[in-house]
Amino acid sequence: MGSMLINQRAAQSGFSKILGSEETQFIFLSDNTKGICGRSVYINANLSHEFSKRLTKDTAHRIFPKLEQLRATAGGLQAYSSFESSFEHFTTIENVQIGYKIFQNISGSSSKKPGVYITSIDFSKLDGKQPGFYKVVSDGDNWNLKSRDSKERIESRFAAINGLAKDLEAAATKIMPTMLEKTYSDFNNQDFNLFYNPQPLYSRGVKWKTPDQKQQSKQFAANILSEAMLRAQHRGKEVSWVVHGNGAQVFQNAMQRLQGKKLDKHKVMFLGPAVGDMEKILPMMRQSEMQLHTDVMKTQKDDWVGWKNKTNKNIAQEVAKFGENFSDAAASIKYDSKLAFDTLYKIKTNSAFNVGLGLGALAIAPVFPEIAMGAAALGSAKLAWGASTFVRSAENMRNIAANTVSDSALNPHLNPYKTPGQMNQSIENASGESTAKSFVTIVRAMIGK
Amino acid sequence: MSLLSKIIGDNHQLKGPDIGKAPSYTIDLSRTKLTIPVPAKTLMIPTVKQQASLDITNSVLYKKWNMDSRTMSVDIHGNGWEFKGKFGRSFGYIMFDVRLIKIEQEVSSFSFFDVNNLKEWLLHYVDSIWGKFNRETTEEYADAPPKKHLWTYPTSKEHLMKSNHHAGGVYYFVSLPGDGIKSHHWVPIGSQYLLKFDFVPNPLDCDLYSPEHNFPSATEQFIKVFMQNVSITLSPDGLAQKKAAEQKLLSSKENLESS
Repeated sequence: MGSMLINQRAAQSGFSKILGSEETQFIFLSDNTKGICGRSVYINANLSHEFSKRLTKDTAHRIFPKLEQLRATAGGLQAYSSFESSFEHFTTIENVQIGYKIFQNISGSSSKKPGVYITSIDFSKLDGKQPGFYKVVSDGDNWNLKSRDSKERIESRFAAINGLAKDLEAAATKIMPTMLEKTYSDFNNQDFNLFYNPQPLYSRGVKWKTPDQKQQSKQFAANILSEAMLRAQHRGKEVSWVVHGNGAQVFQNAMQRLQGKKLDKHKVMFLGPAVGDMEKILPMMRQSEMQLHTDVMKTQKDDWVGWKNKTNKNIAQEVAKFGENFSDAAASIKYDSKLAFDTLYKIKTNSAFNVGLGLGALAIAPVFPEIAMGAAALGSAKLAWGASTFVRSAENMRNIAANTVSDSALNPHLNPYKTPGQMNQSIENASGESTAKSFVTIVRAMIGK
Repeated sequence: MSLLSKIIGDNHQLKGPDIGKAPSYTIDLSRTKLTIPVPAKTLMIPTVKQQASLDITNSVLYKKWNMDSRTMSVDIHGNGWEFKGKFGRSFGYIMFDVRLIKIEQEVSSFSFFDVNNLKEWLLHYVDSIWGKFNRETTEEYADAPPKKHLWTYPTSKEHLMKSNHHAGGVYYFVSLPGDGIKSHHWVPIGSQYLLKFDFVPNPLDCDLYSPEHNFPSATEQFIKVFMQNVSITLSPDGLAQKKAAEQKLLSSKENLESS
């Protein structure tokens, strides 16, 4: 197989024939795509090698008809006259992603003929459920995933990008519906599309052989998201979004790829944005004329998962640039970030003292995740309980510590809408009785006992 | 189980919560008493807690369903647990929900205690969700949908199994190939009131039927023990309605035999 000539390989993979001179490197995809019906579809001959190497017979059977369809479906998007400056679109079928450019005119020095050019092929390195759009349907009060079949397009008026969640079904049926309901008063339990943002993309080590794989997989996810946003815009479809936690990063990557293309049909609200950088996201949104929810973003007071966004004073200025309607939101974000910055400073300066009590590691763990949680032991936490109160209020310390806890009744990151009072109530309800006991509940949850 | 696997865990004896040691929660549903075990939640999902008593006749408390406007439900309890093996690695989880369903029936002879009524209603219900999903998927794939995207759900009365729970009722399974098998248990507590117990298990980062772990049997066993620990004591009204339905069923049988 390895010694085979490229055109033999191409023929074996289903490509029809080499087109033109060697330097064009593009061949007709198949006999069906020569442009007799619809646009011509060409594929970079070098990719045929990748194809024959990676595709099984079964996947090839699903991919080829889809590629051939490009002669019709690709037409719905903008075409560019210059191949070099044209925009790369993506179509994704399960774990295979195909990049293509649409090329219309023969003008200029380019030797390329008009048509759809398949320029890249990528395979997802993620195990399990793939990133993409999943439809979530309510029967009135119960949420169900319609299927495990991820889609490329947004069908519903409402869409969500998940952050922290155990898996697809937990995010789709338990975590995101409440966030949509609280953000949009006209949501009324309508169907929505979840853009599934797999959490292994953010875990350290474990699943990735190389850091490159993780980066590529993040881009794979961002390509699907950005392409769907673009297509919804082209169809004139209004979409209201909720972006939670590290969903902000996949959103940021998607925006970077779209290079300021007009997206005024999309409205977005950020809840506890983390990993992604709001200071960079907001100008890109403005450039794309995207709509911002009037509240812009909400982060629970004790949620430190997205500490960079929380303490960044420039975010308020970026929000203010969206216009007068956002002056209130900007003022409140400015106030919050100032408060957060001061708090962070206090935690930092006091942490050296607290480390001695075993509590410092707890409090700064979500802010500096590199610091191992192992330092926390039940006994020393109890001891630290009394001593820590003069540094900050006991509740704050407890709630910040809960940023890494999986129980959503305890974790502020999963409750962007709760006021400090409501959050304290929720934690105390979950642990039954006193404030002191609730602290122990969190420490237990953190060390998994 | 060896001492070592007791300490570090065992992938073939995945550990969920201990129901026997779990506290319980009792709710008064207009004099019907429901008690369920409440093992501490270990899954990252929101908590659902209802107060200690609920006036089930008050329709305002319910959310109306899309299926038809006469059907409504209210959340009673929500919980979730992870199942862990060696070194605490999580192999999957169960999401658990309890709901009370109320239907405002026009036909006075209808009763959830009448097993035929119950089964017919359930078949209509499952078809309105999973049947509809399958029909839409079939359409999307131009009548040739891949099997892995189609739900398996009860389509005839034989698929609705009689529960051996002391309060009666039926249960069934719903699944997609390769995913966890959802089990739904339904127990009538009034001619127009029905309790629904949903268990939604899903494997995490592994195949459901991988020989590496015993997730399917561990969760099946957990659900069985959990339901054994659910206790329901009917209100006098509920009891009377149950007796009436049984009497009706008996007399229709006798009529059939004598004719």
